[in-house]
Amino acid sequence: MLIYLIVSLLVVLQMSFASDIMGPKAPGGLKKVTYESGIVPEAPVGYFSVRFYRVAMLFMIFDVVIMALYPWATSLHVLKAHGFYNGLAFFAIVVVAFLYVWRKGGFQWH
Amino acid sequence: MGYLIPEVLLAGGALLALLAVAMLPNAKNLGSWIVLLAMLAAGVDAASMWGVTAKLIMSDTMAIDKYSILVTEFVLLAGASSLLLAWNADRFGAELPPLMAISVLGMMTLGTAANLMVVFVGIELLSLPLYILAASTRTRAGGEAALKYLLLGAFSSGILLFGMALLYGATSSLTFVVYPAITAANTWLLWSGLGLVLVGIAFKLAIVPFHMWVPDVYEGSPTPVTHLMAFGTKVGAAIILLRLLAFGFYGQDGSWGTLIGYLAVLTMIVGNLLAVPQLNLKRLLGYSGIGHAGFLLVGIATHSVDGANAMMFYLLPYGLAAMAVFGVLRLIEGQGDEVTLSDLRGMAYRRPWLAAVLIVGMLSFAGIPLTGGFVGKFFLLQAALFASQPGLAVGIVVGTLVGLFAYLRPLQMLFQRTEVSAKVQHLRWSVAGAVVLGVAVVGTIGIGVYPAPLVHIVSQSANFYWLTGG
Amino acid sequence: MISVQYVVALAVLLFMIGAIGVLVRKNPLIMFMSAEMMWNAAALAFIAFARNYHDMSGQVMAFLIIGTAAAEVGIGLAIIVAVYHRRHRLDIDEVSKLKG
Repeated sequence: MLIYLIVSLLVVLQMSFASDIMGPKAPGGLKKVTYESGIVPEAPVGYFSVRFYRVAMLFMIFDVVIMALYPWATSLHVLKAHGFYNGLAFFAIVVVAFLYVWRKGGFQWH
Repeated sequence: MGYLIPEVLLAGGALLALLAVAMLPNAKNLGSWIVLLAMLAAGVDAASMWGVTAKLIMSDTMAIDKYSILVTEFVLLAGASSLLLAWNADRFGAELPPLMAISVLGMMTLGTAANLMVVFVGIELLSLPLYILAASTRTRAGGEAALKYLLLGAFSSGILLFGMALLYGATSSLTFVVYPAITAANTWLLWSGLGLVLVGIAFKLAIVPFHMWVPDVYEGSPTPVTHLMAFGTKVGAAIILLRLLAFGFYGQDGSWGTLIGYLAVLTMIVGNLLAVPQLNLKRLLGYSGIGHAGFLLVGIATHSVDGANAMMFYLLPYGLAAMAVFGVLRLIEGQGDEVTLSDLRGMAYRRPWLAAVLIVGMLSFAGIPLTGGFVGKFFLLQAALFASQPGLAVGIVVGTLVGLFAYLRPLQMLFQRTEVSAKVQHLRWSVAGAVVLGVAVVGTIGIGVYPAPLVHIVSQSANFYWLTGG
Repeated sequence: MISVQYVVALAVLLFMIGAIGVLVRKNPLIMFMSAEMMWNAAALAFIAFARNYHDMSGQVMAFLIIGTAAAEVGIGLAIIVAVYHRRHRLDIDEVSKLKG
């Protein structure tokens, strides 16, 4: 047990610091680019894109809302008709929110 | 199920208004009308349930009784008056009515809560729309107010939630109605949980060590939203505190009664003291609201039926006075968001009726006889003395005296003959504003002169739970 | 089976980290994240107790916390972005047109 603990700690430590100690160092150049190994940004990134933020936000909110349907679906056999209609009422509220965002142009990229 | 019709009506109104805003962007005031009608319908339906016998519904998570019905009427009054103060004003955005409806729905939920889950949902339903509404004018001050409100709100909700988790751990139940039966769980878990929950609600109610966000948020938010915070939020937080402590922790009053008492005295005195030097009227009202939260706490601290009565009674004159003062502020500010003391100069000569309304509201805040505020403070004083807690009584008297200075300074400005401020000169009446002011003045003076009917209603609503809760 | 005390201790630790984060950090984004951490600590404690008592209401509460937190994050980030757009810097000390 103790040995496992020590070994795992050592592994974590060496992963954290080994590259600092042993790896080659080449400061400057591509190192300063935001996405070092990814696509080279076309314009200097001074601020984050608000469009990206909006889509991410909407995705997250509807995602979490839909998450509430999973326990509902798995326990429908217990809830019977009453629970079914309550779930539908919940879904109607989500649909209203969806319609609102849609009409307001929230799903358009531009 | 029929007991939740007011809530369903209001939620339906909010959804319909949201759809109307999205689908028919050119229809002016359509969303406001839908929400206002939904509020009226909800109010009428709630009033028609007055004869109901107290009962728990929805698997013991919600309580329907006269207490919840009275709270529903109070918060609907707060919501409708805020909506009317924002009438015809495009700069708040078309989404203001549905957001206000959702916030009021949260307050109504708090009134019925018998379960910590419902308390949490109610508080979040109340706060989340208010964060947006605080920033609805898209001004710099509004954004900063919303940011502060959001950060403090999330922080205090976190504390509240963790307290609830500990209470759940101590009692194995989220339904706080059954807590009196589980007194065996008198562990550190229960006490630390209750402490955290109290701190969380104290943030929402703006009790003195946790009050620092109030003046900033009140100042930066648009005036109708500030009114909703001052009236509705205070009602919601106060009644849930009363229900939770007096219902769920009925037997352990020795521990929380004293603590709440000290906080009440501190809040009354410090809130009113800080209100005195303020130059911005909304900041002044923010500190005054802190002071009034202290007065409300007195009713809880006495831990008696008299105290609960007095607190429930106090809410209505306080709200009516807030309606009067914020209504006048809304008319003075016009297209701006700020009203300073010097903006009131010469109002008594140029706009005597409006000045009279402001005087009635301020005197009711201060607790001068013949206004509702006096009767409210009188009942609180009585409750403190009946509970033989002279410290609380002294606190009420000192707080009221300090408050006098704060409220008389704006009134002094009204009678300055030297020059009339530009905002008063360019002031324009609106029908919606006149309705709010009319209701506020009639209510304030009516309660001050003839309080018996309200006393009767309140005593009916505040009496029940000492009987069923034990 | 891990006993409930350890999970609750972890929840308390998370809660403390979150609370200290809100009080110490200056960036509204980080402060907001820390507040969300306090929420999640509470959700963890709820689930731990629910498992201990074999009671569903704690799990339902955790579900509600997650849903509400998502709504709060949506609103909160919108407000933070709006404030950021107006000033292009984020520091709670600079949010001081309104004096505390």
